[in-house]
Amino acid sequence: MYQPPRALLRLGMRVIPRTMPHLFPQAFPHLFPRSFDRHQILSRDSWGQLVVFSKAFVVMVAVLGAVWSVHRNITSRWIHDLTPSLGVACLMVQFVLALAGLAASGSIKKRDQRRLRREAHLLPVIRKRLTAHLLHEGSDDELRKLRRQYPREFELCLLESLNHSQGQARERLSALAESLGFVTQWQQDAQRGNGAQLAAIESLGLLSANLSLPVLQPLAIGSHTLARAAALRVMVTLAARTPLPPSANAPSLAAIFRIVVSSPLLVRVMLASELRRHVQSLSVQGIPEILKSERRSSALLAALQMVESWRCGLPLQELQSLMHHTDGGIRAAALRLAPLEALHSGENAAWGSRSLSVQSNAGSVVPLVISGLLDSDVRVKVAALSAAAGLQISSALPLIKSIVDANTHGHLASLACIALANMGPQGRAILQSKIHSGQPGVAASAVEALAGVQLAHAAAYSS
Amino acid sequence: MAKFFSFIDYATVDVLVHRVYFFFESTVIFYVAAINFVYFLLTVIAFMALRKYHQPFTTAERELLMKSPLMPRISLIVPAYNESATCRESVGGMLRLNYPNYEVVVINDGSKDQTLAALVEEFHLYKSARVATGMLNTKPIRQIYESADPVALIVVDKVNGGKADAINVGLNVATSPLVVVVDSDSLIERDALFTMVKPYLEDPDRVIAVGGTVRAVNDCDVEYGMVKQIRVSNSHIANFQSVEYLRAFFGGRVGFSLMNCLLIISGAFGLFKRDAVLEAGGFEPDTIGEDMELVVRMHHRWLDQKRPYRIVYTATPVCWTEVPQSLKILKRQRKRWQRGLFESLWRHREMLFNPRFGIVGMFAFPYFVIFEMLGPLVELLGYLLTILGLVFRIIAPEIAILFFSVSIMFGIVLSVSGVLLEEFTLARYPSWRHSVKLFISGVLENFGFRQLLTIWRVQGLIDAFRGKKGDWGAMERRGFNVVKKA
Repeated sequence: MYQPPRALLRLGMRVIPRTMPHLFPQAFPHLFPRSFDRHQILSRDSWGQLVVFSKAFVVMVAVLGAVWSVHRNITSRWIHDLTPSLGVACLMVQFVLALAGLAASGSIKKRDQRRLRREAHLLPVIRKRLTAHLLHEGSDDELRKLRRQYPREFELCLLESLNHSQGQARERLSALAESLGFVTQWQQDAQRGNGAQLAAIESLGLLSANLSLPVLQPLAIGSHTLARAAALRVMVTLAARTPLPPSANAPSLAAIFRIVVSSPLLVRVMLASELRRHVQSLSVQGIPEILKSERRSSALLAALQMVESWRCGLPLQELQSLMHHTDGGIRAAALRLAPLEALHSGENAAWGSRSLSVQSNAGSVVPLVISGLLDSDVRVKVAALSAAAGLQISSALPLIKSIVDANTHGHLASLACIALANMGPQGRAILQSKIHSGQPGVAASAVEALAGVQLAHAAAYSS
Repeated sequence: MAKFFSFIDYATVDVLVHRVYFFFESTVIFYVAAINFVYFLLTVIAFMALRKYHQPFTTAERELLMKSPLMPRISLIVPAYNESATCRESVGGMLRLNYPNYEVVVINDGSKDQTLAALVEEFHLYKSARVATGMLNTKPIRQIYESADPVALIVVDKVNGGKADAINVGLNVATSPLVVVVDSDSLIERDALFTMVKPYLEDPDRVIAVGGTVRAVNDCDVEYGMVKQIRVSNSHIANFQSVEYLRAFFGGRVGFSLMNCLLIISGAFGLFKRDAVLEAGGFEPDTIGEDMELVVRMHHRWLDQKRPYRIVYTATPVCWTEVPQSLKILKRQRKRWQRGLFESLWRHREMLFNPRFGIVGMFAFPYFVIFEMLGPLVELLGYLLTILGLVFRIIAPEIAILFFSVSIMFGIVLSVSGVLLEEFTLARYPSWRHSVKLFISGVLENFGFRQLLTIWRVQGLIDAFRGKKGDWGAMERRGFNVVKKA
């Protein structure tokens, strides 16, 4: 075995019995990290731009090269001046480019039309064969032949069948997909990051967890947003499909939720409706852990926004502790959840069912709303105004009045007027007094808010 | 008399004239080479980038997003002035879009025709309690209406103040974090909002504006406010513009967007972060090209403050608009566009070749000044010099024809590229015959139409220098080609 000098060993070199091409990276793992990610050096966007510009540069050089080549080999033979010879060469290359573009455009259309015609003819045949396979009829050789001859159409039908089957039928189709090499192809496509990646992830989601999870788990924390969303979506479906085999080493819904709230907005938006179905189990395990342990404002805010979008409240003590958070955005998000909390029927009710409750318990959240109105952050004040108006908290009236009087922030004063207008006769009386306050901005906001309420009443009666 | 001119050495004058002529001729040739190089580079970049960055959501993804409670709310702001011919169809279409959470805010900018009456009748409007919460200064609002039908439609009737003022009213009334500004004579693809919002969802902290694609709807079949069947128009003028739009949107804007130096988002179809527009001061009522001016202002402001941001173009959401079919209207439109371009660039001239503004100041802004603003002047000069050169036998006719052919062939290559790029994205033209027809239009536009546009753009530039003021720029509406139900 190769023994490196001691100096190299001191530098971190490891002795490994490998062939030459692998020797260097494995010998110096700190210089060639195994999980090398090019996006660590350059962001995904910049890397993509670099690739596009490089390709464009190559094409430009190729076109200019073509012009020069035509000039050297063709036009310069009968035009001796450089400029006209180059001009004619340029003209010829342009002509070829235009014709090639036109031909490409036409051929794309022709190809699509041909594909549609072929699909209309082939898909029923393949579907019939797959149904026969599910009924243990027909031979596998026929299927293999079809797969070889019409791979695209066969894949379409197989996915369609997998999508519409359950239990043993799905297992049989999964086995067929594996034996025909589709699973390997999907696993490779899912890892490649090309145009087929998202479709491959979707396809893997139709298979058993053992086949898909090893590929999906790295993608769920990867940098490609849409691939991440697709992988997480499949993982939610798999996690909900109980019981999972222990060998699958599948992440729980709570773990998936943690990944989701740390992900970009697109992933959260795409997963919000999927996770809403599991809000009962997430309220027991998942959300409480995030609220307790999460220190990053962004993830915490994302979790609160998701809970708000599900129209669920949070326990009062959680809201109280969130109101002490240093980030104003978190405090505002907590206050937006206060009216939902006020609607719950009892301390032990599961969060998921709270939105169905009609019993109001506004008293418990009044201190939170009052502290929100006193907060220095405008976002928190706006959320508190909305909560106070929504819950008709009369004890908040003096504070809202003081916001109108201060009028330090025009938009805030206008929102405070709208809140007062919606807080019953007491609130409207305050507004009427403000019309003659001598502050033109405040008076205009007061008139506008009162007019709005009157029109709303008129519309309600007229309808 | 001959004695009087005897001191003139005619040989020297001849040399001098030739030198001056060749100086200008070389400048024009260099200019044409440079502009063609940049156009070609942008087109090649578009070919590389379109498939990678401009893919719409898949059907499965759209279904998920449709159900998502976290989808950001969007307000469609639709300024309208004398649009009674098309407003029912276009607003009806806007209310039938696939998006879970949006409202349509139509602003009637003191129309003199029956626009408001048509909207009240069609959508059963009643006086609303809504108030404008935005802080932009605008002309007064007369009344806000809402629809009694189960649709999220708000119509604002206001005193006439111009398109920018109408959009600002829309910004004040809208409450959504995102706004999409759409012309009232335009039709939007059913899934356009999903595609439009995609860049924002991918990067919500940095994306402040997203531009979509505008295409010509002339002679296409329209049903329920949606384009049902794409057709190539019977009018050559409309087809020339169809090719021009394909070339400009798919060819140019993809490249600028990739470099984050997009200076134009079409006023007919653009998505903006409401807070960002309000922070920038809204649309500028005193300028004629308010759409471009706002985008340049946003670049100016965000780069000045060294804040990270992105203004992007996305190719797949399409807005269909009626393009002028008469030369008179087209002339008015192009002169207005050129004046708008000049005003926007002049207001922000501080950015020109200013390294403080990065690639915007060093590439995009100079590109627009040198090639888009001064381009028609140089093109006109080129035509004049060629004619003079031929008349005075300074250049050989073969060389003039060759130069002209190379320029025209280049335009044809770019036109074909535009058509081909359409194949890569939407592929909405159903038959290869359409591609051939567009190709023929791409060839024919170089003989007369292009020269006319050049002259009008120069006139627009002259108007801008003379400080001519703008208006709504209304055009004669032919109405959409609505499919009649049996």
